[in-house]
Amino acid sequence: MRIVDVEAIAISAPNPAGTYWGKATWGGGGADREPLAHWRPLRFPHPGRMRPSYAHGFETTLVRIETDTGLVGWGEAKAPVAPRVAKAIVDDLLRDLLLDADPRRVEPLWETLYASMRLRGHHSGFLLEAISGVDIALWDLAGKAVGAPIHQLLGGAYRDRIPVYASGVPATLDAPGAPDHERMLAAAAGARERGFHGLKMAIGLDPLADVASVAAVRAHLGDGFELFADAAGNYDVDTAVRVGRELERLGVGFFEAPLPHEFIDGYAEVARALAIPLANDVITQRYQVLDYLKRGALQVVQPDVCRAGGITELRRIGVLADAFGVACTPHVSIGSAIHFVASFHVAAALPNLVRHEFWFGENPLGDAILRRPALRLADGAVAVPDAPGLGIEVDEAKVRALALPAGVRA
Amino acid sequence: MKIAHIEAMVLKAPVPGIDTWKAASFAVPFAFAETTLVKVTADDGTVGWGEVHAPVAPEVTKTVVDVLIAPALVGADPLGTAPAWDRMYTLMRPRGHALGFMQEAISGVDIALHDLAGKALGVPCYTLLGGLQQARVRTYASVLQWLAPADLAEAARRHRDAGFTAMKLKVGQDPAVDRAKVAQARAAVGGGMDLMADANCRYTVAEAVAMARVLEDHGFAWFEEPVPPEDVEGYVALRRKVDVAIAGGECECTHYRFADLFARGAYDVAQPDVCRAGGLTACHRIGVLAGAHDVRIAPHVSIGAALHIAASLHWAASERHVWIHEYPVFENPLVDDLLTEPLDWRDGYLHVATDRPGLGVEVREDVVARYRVR
Repeated sequence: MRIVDVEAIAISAPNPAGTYWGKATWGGGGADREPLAHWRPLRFPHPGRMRPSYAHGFETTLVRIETDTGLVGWGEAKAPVAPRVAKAIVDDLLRDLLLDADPRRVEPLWETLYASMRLRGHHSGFLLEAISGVDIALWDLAGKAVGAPIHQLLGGAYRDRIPVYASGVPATLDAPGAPDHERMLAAAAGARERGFHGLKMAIGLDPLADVASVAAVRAHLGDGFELFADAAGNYDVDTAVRVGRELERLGVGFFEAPLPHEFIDGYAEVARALAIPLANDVITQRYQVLDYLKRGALQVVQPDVCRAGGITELRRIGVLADAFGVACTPHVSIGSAIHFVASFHVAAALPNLVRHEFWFGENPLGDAILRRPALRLADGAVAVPDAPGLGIEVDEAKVRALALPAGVRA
Repeated sequence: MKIAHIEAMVLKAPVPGIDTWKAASFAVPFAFAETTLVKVTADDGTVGWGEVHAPVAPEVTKTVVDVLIAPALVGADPLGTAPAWDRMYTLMRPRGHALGFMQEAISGVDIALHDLAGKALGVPCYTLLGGLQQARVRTYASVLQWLAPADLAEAARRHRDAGFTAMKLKVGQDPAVDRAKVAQARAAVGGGMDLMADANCRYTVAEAVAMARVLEDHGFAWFEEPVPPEDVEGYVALRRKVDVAIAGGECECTHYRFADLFARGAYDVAQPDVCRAGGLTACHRIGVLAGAHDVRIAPHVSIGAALHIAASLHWAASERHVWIHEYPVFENPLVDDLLTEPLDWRDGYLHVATDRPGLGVEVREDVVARYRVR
């Protein structure tokens, strides 16, 4: 079996909810936000400045690999903004390294792709994201070629259903009774009504308001519901410790991205001060994760299968974390059904999985691009497909209808 | 003053024999000298030029500039180079793009903004970086190919005769061949020339120790990229075990990462690349950190265009911890023909123009058009 075509498709769909909650929470950026008058920590907003770019709709880059036997594999590169970049990497760099290769040699091919820019330091970012998309498509092909679901090729499933938490409900700067505060409580209650057993709150708006928001949601949902909190790197060490103490009291399961990801020693310092496990979604490939683990900087790793290096690297990171007694809760945020299902296959096969992230809202790139739905939530969990490869059937016509036009301007 | 327009361009130029360079440790064979140039135009018509280090797949960084960076910066003040850098860095910061294409694209735009700002203010770029420390910077002849030992010895003599006082050669091929290269290069030029060896990350720590002893015996000035870049502990361990200086960091980016690398003691000599590490803004900050850790700097340049070297020279002219500067020695139309006046290299030194604003160079748009493919 050999690869005869590799194609990247940058796609975009309008967000049915209007604005992505991440953009609503963090897109304005700490540097532009007026601090609350009643209390203000020494260094908030964080001087490191967070003002990420967000797309208008839901965007991503799918990878389609075709073989001489007619088998087709699908993958996805993380691309919530600028999906044409991952497409350019696949088209202009990776494609030539893949043509004529046997797609079942997944890990050797991963090394070939990684080696293409290794000496140039591309150990995170766009290259790893593009490699992730190719890697997932190769695993899909490998599974289809041998007639086995991917989780079987990864050593077998520990579980056939993946426990998920709803992501995410933004904290609010509003006082109780104000419209946005009511919106927050309604969203949290809605997650429980839809069958989730846990949810993650997007904090990092303002330390005091963040804590008040989590407390209000805890009071609203009661003690039996799992809560997690993600500060998206908006605090410094002192603020993270103070907020973390409050999160501990509120029974929050993990504290994600308290600091900017560059400050590994800062993570270690916060981790030593707190009992709540620290998590970080901004981690790619095992070398970088190892750096966090050796310094005791993380208790939960959150690799994203479409960013950290695909199924190949997500499994390596999971195994590495397990060797340090660290749990794994794979990150997905937003993406297509391919993203979710690829991550579920690895999650099924990881001994140290605790929970998996799950997009909370309506996803126009979810079951909408499949011939049969695969992302049905039941009793707080989602079933892992058992058909060969990813075990899903991508509706290619629907994907192509979402393709961004040629040319680079948005 | 506002940024009116940002244009990224992909250039590919033929270089004699570059297709044979796949003998070196690069996974993607070269077909051309390739790069991405960036042109920023202000609303008053002032133009600044920059370059992204993009020896392969320059289409990628062009796409990053076009779809991500340009929309975020158009309308901003081009004189605010540092706020613009922060704006660019934050675009993908929570997604972990601390290295790679994102930082490379930022580098090109940052350099173009400095060129533009220098022209607008009527000062050379080095003045925007704190002022002139040195008007000329010593260079070393950088031999990028794997040459046979005898050919390397001949090249060393040739570069010495051309005025170079230092030369770098590639090792990491085969231990016996490496030893022959080192010995014959030293024998060819005697003790009067600084020699450096670059392994392009091909060794393990144990192999690197053995090679380091050979380099020490032949009085080499540094041992570059002995082990893979992800193995920071390997660099630290090697520095404890051997006497020859350990160099590295050409693939690293931003003051955030160099702060950690310097604190851990990874390098004796740091080699940031201005077109990769985050441009002049980031390199200036890296230079401050290097000084605080007493680390020497040897700016990296390799396959690229003349703007790459010009921008790096302005940083080196402003940074007293720069010890020596890389200078590739191969025919490259993107370096040799791009500027109306060629780079001022004389007697082993690069000289910075002290009487011209910005990067002090004028880009030949006809040459850009000749090699532009996208």
